[in-house]
Amino acid sequence: MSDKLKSGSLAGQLLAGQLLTGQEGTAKSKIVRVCAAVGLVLSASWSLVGCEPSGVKEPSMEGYSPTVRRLDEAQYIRSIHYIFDKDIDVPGRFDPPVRESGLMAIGSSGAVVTTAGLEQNLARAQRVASQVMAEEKRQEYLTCDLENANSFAEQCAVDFFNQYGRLLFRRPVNEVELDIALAATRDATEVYQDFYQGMEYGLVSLLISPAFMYRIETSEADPDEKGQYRLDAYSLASRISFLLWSAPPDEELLDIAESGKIFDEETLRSQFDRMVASPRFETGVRAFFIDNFSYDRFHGLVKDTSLFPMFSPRLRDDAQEQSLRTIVNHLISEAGDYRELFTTNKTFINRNLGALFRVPVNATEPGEWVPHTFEEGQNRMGLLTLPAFLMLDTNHEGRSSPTIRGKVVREQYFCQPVPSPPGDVDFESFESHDNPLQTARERLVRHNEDPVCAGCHEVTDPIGLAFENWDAIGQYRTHENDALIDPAGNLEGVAFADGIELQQVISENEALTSCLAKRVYEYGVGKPLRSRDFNWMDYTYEDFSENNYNFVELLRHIAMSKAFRAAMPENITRS
Amino acid sequence: MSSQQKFQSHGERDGFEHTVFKKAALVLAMTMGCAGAASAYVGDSFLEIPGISGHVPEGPFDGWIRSEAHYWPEVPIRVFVMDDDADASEVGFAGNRMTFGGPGAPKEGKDSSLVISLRKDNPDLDQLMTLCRDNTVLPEMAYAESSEASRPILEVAPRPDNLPEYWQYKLKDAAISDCPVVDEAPEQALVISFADIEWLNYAADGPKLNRVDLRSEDFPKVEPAPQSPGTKAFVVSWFGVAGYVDETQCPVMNKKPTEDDYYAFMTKEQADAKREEFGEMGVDYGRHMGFRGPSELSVVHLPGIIADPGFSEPVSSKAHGVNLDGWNGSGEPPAGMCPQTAYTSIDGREEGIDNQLFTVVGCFDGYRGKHGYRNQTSNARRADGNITTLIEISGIDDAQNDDDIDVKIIHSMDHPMKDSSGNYLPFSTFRPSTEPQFAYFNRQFKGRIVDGLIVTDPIPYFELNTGLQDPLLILKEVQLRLEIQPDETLTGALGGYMDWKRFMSGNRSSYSENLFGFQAPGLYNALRRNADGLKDPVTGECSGISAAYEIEAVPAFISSDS
Repeated sequence: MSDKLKSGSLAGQLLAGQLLTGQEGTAKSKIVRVCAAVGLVLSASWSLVGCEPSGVKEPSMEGYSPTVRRLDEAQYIRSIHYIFDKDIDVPGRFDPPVRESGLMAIGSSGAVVTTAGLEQNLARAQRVASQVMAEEKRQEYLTCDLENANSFAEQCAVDFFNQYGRLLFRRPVNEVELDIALAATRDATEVYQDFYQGMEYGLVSLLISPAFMYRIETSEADPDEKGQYRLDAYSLASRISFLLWSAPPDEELLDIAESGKIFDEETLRSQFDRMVASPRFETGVRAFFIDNFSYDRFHGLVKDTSLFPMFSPRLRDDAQEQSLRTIVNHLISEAGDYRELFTTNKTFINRNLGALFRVPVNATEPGEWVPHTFEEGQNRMGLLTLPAFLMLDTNHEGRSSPTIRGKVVREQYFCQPVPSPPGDVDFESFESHDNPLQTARERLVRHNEDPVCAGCHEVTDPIGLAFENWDAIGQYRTHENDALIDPAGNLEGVAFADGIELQQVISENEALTSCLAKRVYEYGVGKPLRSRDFNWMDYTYEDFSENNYNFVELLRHIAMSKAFRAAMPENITRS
Repeated sequence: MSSQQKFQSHGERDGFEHTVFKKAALVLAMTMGCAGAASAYVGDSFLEIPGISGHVPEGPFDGWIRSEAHYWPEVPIRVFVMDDDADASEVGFAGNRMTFGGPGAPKEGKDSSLVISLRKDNPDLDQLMTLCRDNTVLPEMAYAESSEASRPILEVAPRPDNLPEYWQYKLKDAAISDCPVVDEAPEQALVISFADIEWLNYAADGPKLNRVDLRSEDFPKVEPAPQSPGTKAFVVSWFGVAGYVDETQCPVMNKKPTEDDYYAFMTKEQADAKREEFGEMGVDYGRHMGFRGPSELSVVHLPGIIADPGFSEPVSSKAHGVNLDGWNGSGEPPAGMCPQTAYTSIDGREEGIDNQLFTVVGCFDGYRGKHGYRNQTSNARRADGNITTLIEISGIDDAQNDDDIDVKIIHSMDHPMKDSSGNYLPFSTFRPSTEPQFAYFNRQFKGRIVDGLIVTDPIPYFELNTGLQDPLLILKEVQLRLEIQPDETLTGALGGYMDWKRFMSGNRSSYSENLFGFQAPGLYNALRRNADGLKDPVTGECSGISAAYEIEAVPAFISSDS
């Protein structure tokens, strides 16, 4: 048995049958086995693979087929703002994101643009183009200043489409694309007798092009690895840029791609450092964690305000912002250990959250965020005692759900998928407010008596019950329905007294850090990790460990790895 | 123009031609229901007539004639005034109120009138009635009105040293042109018509308002205590006249005046003409109803000039408030007090609660606690962030019994935050305000906790900016009686003696009569009857009435880094 298995990781425990608590052969144990087999096989398999010592050569990894990923709403808006102007209004509804294998970044590979989405895209493109070509702005982008603008100025148009088409498409525009844009411009100029209106139409042709709306990767034969393929330079530039900035490459990175130096290790390292130093990096880190922790679900999150009058859209937004600030500050500003994100007593609060935490907020401006250190007695420590985690349950508006909280920890923090409940489960006995059982723990005990439920609930509930000291919006409480809450439990044999202690246990669980490493890679490549890639993942994990779980170093390791650029030929797709 | 003609025109004009009122002021004043109201106050003013030796016994107007109330019919009520170059946002409802308006009398250079009322037992009345009956025109009369009582009602600044306590005027070619007698009335109305007026101690072309810039030493030194377990802070979520105990307190509610009251002093012909003029709309409470006195004089400005219509009072042994005089109801009231009811506190823990204002307004719909519209509108403005008042209790060593604590009233620059039900969000943090119109009104009490009840030592003179329609609350001998509830909120009362005439002045509007359900003359007499404090040792009359303001507050924090 490997060391990891011996160490009592969840995967190891499950495979070893430790969670069965000696009830092998019963219906319950079978359910547990199903749960483990279906949900936890990935991390378990990964954990079983032995680790390479540090400093070894990067294990080879067969590349993925190049992806075609739809820009999400935020990426679209950032593209426009970064390429043109942050004041440009980007209107309209976007097609909803698709989450797959835990990440929208993976789901975006399979995301389509609907008919309605295309209509919105066209309208949006027209609105954006009209702002770019507005009288007060266009001279920032055009090389010509025409005295007579009622005729087509070809060179001016060519210059514009070459420069901005390259930024929009994240690669040079090809002749066909340029011809389409020029033709649209020429025709519209003739119709309207106005070159600038013509340019709006030309720009629209770029903005509605799949080359802009989709990140279309292409591969090429790897000259350094005979028989292997890699992303081409522009595709790699985009992959790195979206990993770090969640935005398209800037001109400098495109220049590096154009020169081919992006495959040069030192050049790439230098570019990595430059990009991490950019203000865009924080935006990129936020985008990753929004995806990784499913913070997109804050959009539209509601709670029953008759039960939780403190809840409001503003509190919801503040809760998300607080966690993101805490993450960015700990991982980036302080270059902290990822594990300590779950034990830190440092965060940021504003007046609204101060009321939730019942602590004073010594801000000098309304709405100002100020650093805050939770003190003894304030009953908070770690990311999972912040309201973002505690309230982000779209299924329960009127109460906390230990099961959902436990599931979230398993899936989003440990990368251990938990199967959905069977379709015929009767939730009434648990959900009803008429339930005479006062606490969630008492109500959930029923699941343990039902073998259909017990397998998965044993995986989720001990974690979630530890957080019962915080209600559905994250307010601290000691009692539920006048009954004292018992938050104690154990996670894979390690006992904890409450949610704060549980986070200490979580922080020491390798599933936490290995999950992050896996997710960062998947986020970057847009594909779920394959079982045959575990060797490379262990190599990556070891590096992460040796760098004290420094998030930036993890990004560097992945961005500069050969695995990150490895690809299949474009005509080969494996399942 | 005869005085009768003038007064007939009062009911018709809307009174907003005055250049002081720009469009914004017009809107705001109408919102407050002040149409038809004139520059006026209930309270002492003084008249000097050559050849008549008045009976004011002392002070700057020794030998003058005292008037109980007055109004300038041709000058509309001043909610606030503005410089010509100012706008409402600067000095209006939401603007800076640290101003002190100039005189509210008519401008020089034209004829006008002044209406005053004298108590019927005023020894000077007979001579004035003689002048009236003889229609004697005198070359001049002198008149003095309080600059503070006559100021625009939204102002809160203290009177600057360079402005006089009384505005003084010379009324030229003046005559008492009308003096309609109402036998049952406690006071006599006198209309003084004059050909011109001269402002004696304020330049007639001077600024309409004076911005008051306070020195740092003018501000009370009230600083928040460091945050500690012994410090509890609260944001006031309700502050209103404590006029409600329970549903049974009023066998009969007070009622607003009726159309019959309006026509009571008119001949049938006059009344028929008015009915025809008003048509199916009837008597307008804002513009007409106040002028229901004899000769169509205003009984909201001169509430003593008609017979007391009576005032319904509550039946209750309990009231909110504070025992201001230490008397628990047994034996005789202490010296220096007028007859009063010794109420029991709402919680039943204390006898001798002083709240004679409750006796007056308990059946006056506008002030009946949270049921009262007047209280409701005030607190709605508070909830909107018009003013944020914090109460801090510090130095608590023992939450049940502590003989030395500090209780501070601190104003904040921050609006209250609300939960999704619209209630104040508990445990919000507030920054103290440094804005003069708020910081000037911070106060500190010394106090103690007795069996969980927080009581303070009296403050002799207390001003509070309540931030509302009638923002400046002035009380004497003020104490707090507060209690922290199990849910961590704070409830209680602020009690003290208020100048009952000032309270009357704050209700001198027929629009208010209609809205809040009372009659100004009834209120006036009820206030006088129930006044129980600040007894004049010479006259034996009490100028103060014990009053209480109910306080509710939710837990909060006061920022120490602002």
